Amino acid sequence: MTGKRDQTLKRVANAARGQRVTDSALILPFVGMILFLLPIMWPRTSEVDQAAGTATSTALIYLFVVWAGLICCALGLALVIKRFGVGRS
Amino acid sequence: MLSLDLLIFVSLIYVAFLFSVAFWAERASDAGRGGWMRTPLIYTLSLSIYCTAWTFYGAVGFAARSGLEFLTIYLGPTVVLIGWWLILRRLVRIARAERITSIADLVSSRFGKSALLGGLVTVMAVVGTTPYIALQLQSVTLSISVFANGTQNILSSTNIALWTAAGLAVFTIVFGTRNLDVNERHSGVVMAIAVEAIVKLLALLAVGVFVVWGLADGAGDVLARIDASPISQWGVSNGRWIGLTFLSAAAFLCLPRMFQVMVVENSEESHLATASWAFPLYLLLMSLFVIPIAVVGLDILPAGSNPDLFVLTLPLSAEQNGLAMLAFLGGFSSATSMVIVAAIALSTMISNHIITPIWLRARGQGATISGDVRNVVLTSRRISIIGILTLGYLYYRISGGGAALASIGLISFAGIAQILPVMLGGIFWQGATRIGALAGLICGLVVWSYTMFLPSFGPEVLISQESIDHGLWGLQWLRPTALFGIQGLDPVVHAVLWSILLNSFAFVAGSILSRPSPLERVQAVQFISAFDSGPSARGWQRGATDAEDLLSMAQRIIGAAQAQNLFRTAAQRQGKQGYLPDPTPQFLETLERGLAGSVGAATAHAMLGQMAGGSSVTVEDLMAVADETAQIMEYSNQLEAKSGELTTTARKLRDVNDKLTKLSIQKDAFLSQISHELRTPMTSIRAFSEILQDPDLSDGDRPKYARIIEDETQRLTRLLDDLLDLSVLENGQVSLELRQARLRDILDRAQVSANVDKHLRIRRIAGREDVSILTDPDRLTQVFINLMSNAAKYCKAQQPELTVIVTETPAAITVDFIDNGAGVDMANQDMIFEKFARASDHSKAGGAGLGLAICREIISNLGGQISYLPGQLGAAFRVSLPRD
Amino acid sequence: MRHVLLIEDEPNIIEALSFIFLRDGWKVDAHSDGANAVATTVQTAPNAIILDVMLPNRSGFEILEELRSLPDYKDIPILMLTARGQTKDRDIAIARGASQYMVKPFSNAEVLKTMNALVGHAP
Repeated sequence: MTGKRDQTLKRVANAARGQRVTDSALILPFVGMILFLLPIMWPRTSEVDQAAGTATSTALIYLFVVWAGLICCALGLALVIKRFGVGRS
Repeated sequence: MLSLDLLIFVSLIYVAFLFSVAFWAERASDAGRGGWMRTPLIYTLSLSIYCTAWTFYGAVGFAARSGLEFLTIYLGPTVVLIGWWLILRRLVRIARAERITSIADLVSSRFGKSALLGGLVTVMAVVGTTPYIALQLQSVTLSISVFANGTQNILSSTNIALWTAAGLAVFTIVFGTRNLDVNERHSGVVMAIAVEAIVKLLALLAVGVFVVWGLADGAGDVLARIDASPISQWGVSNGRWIGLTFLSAAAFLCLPRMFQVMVVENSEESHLATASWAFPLYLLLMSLFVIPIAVVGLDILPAGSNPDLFVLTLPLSAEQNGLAMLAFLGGFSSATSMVIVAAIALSTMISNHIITPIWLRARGQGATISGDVRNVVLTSRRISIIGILTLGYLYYRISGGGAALASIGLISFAGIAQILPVMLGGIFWQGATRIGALAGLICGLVVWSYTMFLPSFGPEVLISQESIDHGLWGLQWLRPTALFGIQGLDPVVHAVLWSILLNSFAFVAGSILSRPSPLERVQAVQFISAFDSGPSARGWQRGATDAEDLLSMAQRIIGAAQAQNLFRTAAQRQGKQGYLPDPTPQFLETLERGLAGSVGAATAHAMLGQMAGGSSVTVEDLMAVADETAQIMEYSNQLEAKSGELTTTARKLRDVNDKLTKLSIQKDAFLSQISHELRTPMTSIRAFSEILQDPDLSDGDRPKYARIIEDETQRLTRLLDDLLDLSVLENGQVSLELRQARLRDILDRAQVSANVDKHLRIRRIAGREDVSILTDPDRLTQVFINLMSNAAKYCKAQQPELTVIVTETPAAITVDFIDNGAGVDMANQDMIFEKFARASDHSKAGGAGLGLAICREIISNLGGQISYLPGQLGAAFRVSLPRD
Repeated sequence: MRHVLLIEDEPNIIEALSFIFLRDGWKVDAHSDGANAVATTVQTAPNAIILDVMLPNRSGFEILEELRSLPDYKDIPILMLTARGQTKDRDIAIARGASQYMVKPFSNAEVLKTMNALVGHAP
């Protein structure tokens, strides 16, 4: 009896995890898009205020860090999806 | 300085190496050892054809001119791949289910296999890709010219471009059109591209490492140099940052070569999961050193050096010849792999969507000999490849090779991105129609050409300076760079914004205003519901599944035995056991001929075309199929009509026979019942008659036995009366004496005649019985008597009661007789109105079992109904009489 | 002792048969329902049976078949009486082991003679 209940619980947990993974997979590109578009709000050099701008080096580091972060998230999702076969049901 | 001869020698060796890799991969794949080639790693590497010479050389130039803006070209694809779950997965699954061979095929299939749309998308793809190919030729030429610096050689820059184009054409023809692959997959080409992907990544990383740790003093120094460089400040315009990211994402999805490697060559959906992180990683690595190279180049190299060539000139300036050679090979790889795949993808599209339809139309008779079709397809692909490279070369010559690499790339991107609204609409929006798609694509193509493509050749080449400055026909609001008077936008953003906006608007409006054809509807449902029809997450086992599909189709058409025979022979000829030969073109031809005998050539061709990837199903084919089908249908309709008549006759005969049999059984049963009912009283009569003749009979017994004889005689008489009565009623010969009568009077009379008051109490509701009715009162009384006596006979309650309830409804008057006994079993309720259907116990009933049968006949003669009411207290009968 | 069991549902016919057999010196028992005819047979233990075909609740043929399946009643004389008078019924009765078969209405003398012959009683 417990075995059967455990199986059921496992199935429910799997389904919940599947939903979480699917949701994450759907949300990730939007998160990436927002993070990548964030620089448009940064201050930039103007004739009035020369010091107001953002350094290219700073922007460079920001973008590559975000990029690497997204890659790690995608890697994690891909592993989970492959391991548990989400989306095959 | 590296000698040009050495450079060309090494290039040729490299090309030979690529040829051998491709040959070897094809051989391995043919021998069935190609499994490892369909791995996620190879798939990811093949995607790298996104990174062309534009990336390899141009990104540095782009960065040197506009700082971080170059990143947009990589961020777009990154977002697309990270979001693979949303779009790419869908595309791959649809493409697999529908055997899509190219992006033109996707659009054409989705919108009712429209030949027009397929052709249009093909034209757009060719127009959009041509500048891109020119760009690759230009980069090869430029890079070689760096080495030719100062030395004289027979190879002028024009010649280099021409030779490169020719060489690429040969490679593409050899490996891209070696055979007609049913799935349009090219293992040799993919393998060569994977190798090139590694070469170009390693080359760029090597140059980057050399620049950062060789020329500069490590990462810190590079960051310091960035801050000191002309591009030290974040200055990307918002419009360009957003616009270019969108554009690169759109192009990534729509570029014919990307569609080819990403969707068509995809052998398993799960590869996407790997590529979703691995390819962004590849892009990140490719762009990691772009800014350092640009900054160091700007710093070290003399002012006025072409930043597009920093990747080559930096190592050369430091006398790193080996590294420069590697960098050259990297750039060469980038250029060649793009051209090869683009040429394959475009040639497939051109042959499937332009040449074959036209050829079939010109032939008039349609595809009668299938071998011809195959030759035509292969030849047309080869010619297309030559044509595409020629076009690229011509564009390179006309545009003068002057414009910066990045801007040519963007023109291509924007042109290809025009397919995006239709593609996304096609896979997500069921309401999208062919007309809408046509409107959107044409609108996008026109706006893009006018605002971007034509001006790119420079003034006075294809569009006059007058038009550029003051608009077409002098209309200010039609100025190519300021449509509808919107000024101040970046030209690229302006062109993309307007073309995509108008494109989408035309697409949506056209779809809403038009009605889809039936075929379109079918395709729309197929595409949109790709995920409902069960998952196909695993890649399909190419050979086996395909042959199996073909076999099951063939069995349906030419019959199981013949199909199996055909397949087994073909398998034997290929040296295989069993029934499933490899679906080679030769076998498909044989099969098609086999099928054509049964269903006609056009149908067979269309069917096989459908199963082999829809590669050559044309409108003509479909028309021919329709004609043939119509003929077959007419013929089969005639047959059907004849066999229908036969079936009808047979059914009639069977019905009559059934009826006769049933009647005969009924007659037998009836006669046997009658016999029983007559013989039983006669038995008693005869037996007691004999007994009465016995002289020793006591005086007490004699009258008793005489009475029995009398009773039984009466029973006989009653039976005969009933039988006569029933016979008359059943034959409708009864003459009814209809007159107005009050129900209460009839019931009173029945109660008196039934004379059952000492057996049971009859409860009536006098107030409700005051109903006048047109009927035969005598007959109705007979029915009521019967029902009352039945209650008296069968109701076994302690104090038997019969309740009579009269109810008036607009349509009828009902009289219910409900007793408080046990009622009739469910099983017997159906048959109590049948003749001789006494539920049990003859003796007690005294009648012949014809009472209710007679009642039913009488009531039916009176136009009413009598039925048993289940679910009452006891037995309940309802007599329902029509109102006049 | 000649002992006959009448399995018959018509009271007047039972009356007639009882009179005939009693007068001939038989012991007579009667039973009028199909359902527990076999049980009554076992209880009363007759050495001959007159069996009607159309009985309430259970057909005479079925009763005949069941009786013939019991070891004690395998050979007991059974006379089938029927009012339906079809040859088909006769065949069924003989096939299922009836000793004799007669159609109603019958002659009293004939029934008596047949029964005596069946139980081996010399007239």
